Amino acid sequence: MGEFEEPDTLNPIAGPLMFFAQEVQQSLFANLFTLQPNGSLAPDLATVVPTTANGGISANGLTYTLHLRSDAKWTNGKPVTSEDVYVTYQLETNPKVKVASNLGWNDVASFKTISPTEFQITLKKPDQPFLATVFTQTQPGIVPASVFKGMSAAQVNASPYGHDPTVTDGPYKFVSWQPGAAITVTRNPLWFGTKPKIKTIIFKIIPSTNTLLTTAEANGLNVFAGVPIQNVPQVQKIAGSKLYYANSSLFEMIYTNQRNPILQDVRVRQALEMGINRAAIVKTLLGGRGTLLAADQSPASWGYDPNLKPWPYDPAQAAKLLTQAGWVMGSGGVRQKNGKPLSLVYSTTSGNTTREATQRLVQTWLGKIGVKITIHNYEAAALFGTILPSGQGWDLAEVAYNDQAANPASPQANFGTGGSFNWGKFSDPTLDHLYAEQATMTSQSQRQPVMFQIEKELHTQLPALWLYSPQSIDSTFNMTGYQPNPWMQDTWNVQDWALTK
Amino acid sequence: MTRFLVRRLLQAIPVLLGISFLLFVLMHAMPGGPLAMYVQQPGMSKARLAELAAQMGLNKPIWAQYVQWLTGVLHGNFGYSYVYNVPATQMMLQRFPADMELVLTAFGISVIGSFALGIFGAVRQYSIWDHVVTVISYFGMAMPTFWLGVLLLILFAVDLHWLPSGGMVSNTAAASLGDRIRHLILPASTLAVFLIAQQGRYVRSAMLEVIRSDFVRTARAKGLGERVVMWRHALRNAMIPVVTVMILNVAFLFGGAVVTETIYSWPGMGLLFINAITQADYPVIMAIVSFLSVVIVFANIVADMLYGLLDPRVRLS
Repeated sequence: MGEFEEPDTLNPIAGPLMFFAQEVQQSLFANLFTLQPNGSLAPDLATVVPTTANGGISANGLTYTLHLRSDAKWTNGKPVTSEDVYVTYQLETNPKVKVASNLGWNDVASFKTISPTEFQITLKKPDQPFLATVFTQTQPGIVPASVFKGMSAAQVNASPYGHDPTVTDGPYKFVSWQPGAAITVTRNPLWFGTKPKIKTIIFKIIPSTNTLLTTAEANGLNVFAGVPIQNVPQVQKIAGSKLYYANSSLFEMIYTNQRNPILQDVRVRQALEMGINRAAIVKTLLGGRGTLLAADQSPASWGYDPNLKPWPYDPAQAAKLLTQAGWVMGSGGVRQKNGKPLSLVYSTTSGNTTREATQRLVQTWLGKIGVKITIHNYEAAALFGTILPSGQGWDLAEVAYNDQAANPASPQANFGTGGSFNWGKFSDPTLDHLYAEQATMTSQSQRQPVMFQIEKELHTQLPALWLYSPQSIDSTFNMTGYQPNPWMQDTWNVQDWALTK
Repeated sequence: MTRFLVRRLLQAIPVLLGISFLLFVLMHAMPGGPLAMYVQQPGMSKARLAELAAQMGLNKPIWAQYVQWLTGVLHGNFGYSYVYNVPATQMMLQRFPADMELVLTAFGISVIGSFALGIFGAVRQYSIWDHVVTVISYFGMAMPTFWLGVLLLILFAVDLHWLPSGGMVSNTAAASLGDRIRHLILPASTLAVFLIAQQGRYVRSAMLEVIRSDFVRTARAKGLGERVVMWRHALRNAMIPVVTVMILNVAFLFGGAVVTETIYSWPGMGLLFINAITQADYPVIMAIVSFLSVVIVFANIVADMLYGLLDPRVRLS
């Protein structure tokens, strides 16, 4: 299996979160539940998914009672118990521990161990997505108490466990990590689930798309996740290849910076959205492998409202809205208002060919309706670390965002007033009210109608210009059992993979 | 000689300190910073970012951070990687053998190749073969590594299946010597092509200068054989400028073979360095930069000392 980047750590709680680390961790670790491709929970280390109906969640949505399997074991022979979860809880809520993410754990008010296979968690406030946030991934996941119990924060942060995780509880166990080269795992004989069909998996670190492709062509790979669209024809030609297209949790949008008075007018934002031919972007740049979006949810999310239609591409209507907003065509084809030109700076991460091509198309399309676009791009680290948070130097910023199965309300941080990542300084009382309303609800069915209202508000108000949600493209070679899952890494069902050659 | 060495070593201390301070400041001036990779994580908040900044010591003024870093270094502690949570020196040292293997092999090939090419070109100056060699070496210099590397990979790994497509060893087989060599051939050749072309030009021009000088004519006039004239008299003198270029090339190759390492998934230091820069992993950047500064400063000292050995007119006292 090819890995584009070397994982940072295999420790389930250490940060930062990294896609490629999670991919390896999912073969080594288990958590209480897995998220199925449709976003629902299925038991893994737990025996049952708690609900208010089965009494696992209290009526007020604050207390969760969880049951663990009695046959789950760590590779050192010790059973997986409530104590492992308790130690994880202690580390996750210790501000001195460099945890990957303490989302969900920071809402926990108390933890009560009832027996080695039963424990109870009480939350400070209702958090409907709590189980999916805390108990489905492997980073952040559950750590073995036999390794971490009694360690100080400094010892945890400096623990060699992340690079030599000999005590794990997943379908595979750790064999070796050759820095910069490969990570090898082999079947775990103590695994409680079905016996993995493949004996040994090697995660090869291949940091170049070209080399990933040539390695696949030289028959050196069984899984190539994230095939770039332009390489699909070459991958199809490789013997034994099978391509998988699936809706992803990712979506692409263009933030609007509300510090600029031009963009404070919703008519201007709507004109920009209608002035961009988003269907053409998906068709030409993504080979049709994407869905146009009406708002911030990808089609894989339960917060996605299929009845909400994306804005049409309508340059005539866009021009009309701009005129209504007081922007009249001036010299040189650029609209003006009170002597000021309708000119905006459009930024994104440099080096991304799809985004750069999108920018040039957008520049042309908006130019036709009298909007002057200047492109100014930055390195990803500079864009996210410095430029976007400063709010200076950009009017439109194209970025991608990953929806969370558990919580379609997570973009609240991006669009809610005062949100940590509300880089455009967008503020809408209706939206804030809706976000607050859904936060107190305890079931998904209750939340969904409110989420749809949020979608409608985001659709009309356009704090960001909605573009598309790309499909994920993966390929396997001489292998069966692979199943894409937008909410977990591709190794989520690794025990079901089988080689055909 | 000893006095020269001691003096140069003492001079190296302020140079290295100056380099480290300058790079420390420049590194912190890069936009983004180590927290950029946390920003887009689910549930991240400004408060949590502040906690992380405090854990990494990033909330202190830059001079205090430098003093802290330097104090650590003097105690042999380069700090923990922000991303991998392991000691930065450990990460670097794990990659070092892979670098040694690739760099020294490529360098070895290049020394033999460039002398052969250079001497051949000089001895047969303006012959048709000299022109052929010149064209080939320009081609070698002008050909981008990322292109040549991928080309060789497609030819030998994909089409012909003669050589593996990357990595240092086959993961499935036990790492035999033959297996290692098979993995080494493509990356070492890719790296050597540029070196041969570049160093070959230096050898040729240095040789041309020397074979026209009076002492070579004298040697021939004494009736010495052509081979003795070339190898004992001409080459030794022509080596002086060449040695500097070659030794500095080795120094730059450590950590500088990034493109080759990327194409062939070679787990060397160059790749680690580039990743550390994009992730703003300050402790790793500083560990590698310090190591490279030391290597380059020492390579210069070694080159100076070799002058003394090659040319009796150069006195090191």
